[in-house]
Amino acid sequence: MKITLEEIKKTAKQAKIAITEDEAALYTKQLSAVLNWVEELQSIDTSSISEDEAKLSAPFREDKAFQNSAAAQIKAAFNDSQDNYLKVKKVL
Amino acid sequence: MIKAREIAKKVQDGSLKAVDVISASLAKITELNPKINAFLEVFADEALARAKEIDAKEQKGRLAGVPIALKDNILYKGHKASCASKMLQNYTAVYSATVVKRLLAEDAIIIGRTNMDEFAMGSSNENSAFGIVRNPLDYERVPGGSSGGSAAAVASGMASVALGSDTGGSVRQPAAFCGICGVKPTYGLVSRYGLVAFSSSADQIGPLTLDAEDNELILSIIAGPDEQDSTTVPLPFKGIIKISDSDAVEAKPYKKPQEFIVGLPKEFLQDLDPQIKACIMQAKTKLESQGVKFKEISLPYAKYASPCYHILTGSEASSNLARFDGLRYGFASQNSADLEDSYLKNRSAFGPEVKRRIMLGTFSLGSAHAEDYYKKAQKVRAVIRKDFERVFKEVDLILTPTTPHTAFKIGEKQDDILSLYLSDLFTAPANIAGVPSLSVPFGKDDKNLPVGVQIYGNYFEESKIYALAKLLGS
Repeated sequence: MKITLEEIKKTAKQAKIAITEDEAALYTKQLSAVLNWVEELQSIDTSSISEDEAKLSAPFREDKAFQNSAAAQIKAAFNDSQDNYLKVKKVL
Repeated sequence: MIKAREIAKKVQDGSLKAVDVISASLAKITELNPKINAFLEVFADEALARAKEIDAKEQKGRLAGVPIALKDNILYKGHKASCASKMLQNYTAVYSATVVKRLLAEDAIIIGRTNMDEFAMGSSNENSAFGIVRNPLDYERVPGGSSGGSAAAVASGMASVALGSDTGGSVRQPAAFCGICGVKPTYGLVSRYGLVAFSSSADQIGPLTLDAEDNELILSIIAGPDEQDSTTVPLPFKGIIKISDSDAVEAKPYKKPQEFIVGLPKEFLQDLDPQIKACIMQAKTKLESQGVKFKEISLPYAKYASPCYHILTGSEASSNLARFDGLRYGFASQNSADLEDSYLKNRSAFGPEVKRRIMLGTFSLGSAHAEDYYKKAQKVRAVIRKDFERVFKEVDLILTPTTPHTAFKIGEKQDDILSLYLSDLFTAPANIAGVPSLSVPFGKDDKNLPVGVQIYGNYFEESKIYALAKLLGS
């Protein structure tokens, strides 16, 4: 399948990735090649595979509270903090 | 570098000092790392201090004094873990990965963190934000990837062992390119707690070592259930690896390795590089001479694992890497106009391959395309899994090449993304099906570059794989 320049720009926007016009053109070419390649999956008959069989499930453990002592390190790793809150730049 | 088990034995009986092991390792790093760029950071003082402590201990662990390198996506409390990305350049781990805790509990010494393809996406280590890694066997060639720094560190003798992560071949392919052993364990055998997530349904941590026996030793120490990774399998499982004495899992008796039946999948040998094929055939002959039986098998869907991998891992990466928005983690631009702009500016710290894969995943998951791409790939994954389940009713193990070619030149495939993606043709099936596989060096090509032979096993039957690898003399 060929992906269009417009679709690349839309996908980049959805993925929150800024791309230049040149990059958009390059990604259009590269991702078209990748999509052409993965197209071969369509030739495989998967009619015998149920939705459930296709899904992978992870087991869940019991949700238990435990003491986490990493707050100081998390704060230290962050640019700015106050009390037990991490301060981020105003974005709204 | 000396093998891990030999270092540990000598440090335990006092005939070798951990301090001397670490000093030798550091000297090698000083000599070679400026050329190879395998290490992004070396914990020299700390490693020496720890070595002194271990030398002074009465009871020493099973990895006493062994210098181990960590891929830069595995967390070690108080140390940076950057995933070789500008995004996480200044990120310091606030806890240690379960695998790291288990190594340290056995008195291993973490010597540094190794270079990799950014966020483990790549097969040549050319995607690192902090420079390429050179293959220690030929500086003009790539070490493979994404655990290229880990493989180069062990192959060059800078570390005795390294940990890598393998999502489509990222431990086994660099192991093959650098002439060492690397394993992708069964999905669920090793905890990923503390591994930066790339593709959660495929990622596994695996050791890179000088030989199969060291590999088995390290895996037996890091394997086993972990409350903090719910995908790890509770014991006892049907497998054979003995986790630890306290877990008291009886080694399940199985037939002698000489009585194994090994499958040779015809599809993996078609159109194969003749020199690599010759190595596979020599391995077969060597095993047959020891009584191992071979059987031609067919895995008709295995070749679709690579495209399947790119859809599924791209999709999962687009979700897993959404957390890198500069607010919770990672690079944060200081001059964004609004929330949308801050996302765009902050995420500009990703390199081109990471952006490409996130976009492929975002596209594959989009409502207009999910049925044709993501959901189709999930179904194909089930087909591939069934293919392996069927074959493992007939054979104990499967022998294949690890890679379609030996180590290629730096820059040779940079403009040919598909060719790079196809590097994982023979390794991706293990991640897609969830089965284990080990790459061991066996033979060389006419450029004197090592060839990797790969042994696939049934779920949780790593011990059978190692038994066969030992027959191969690896």
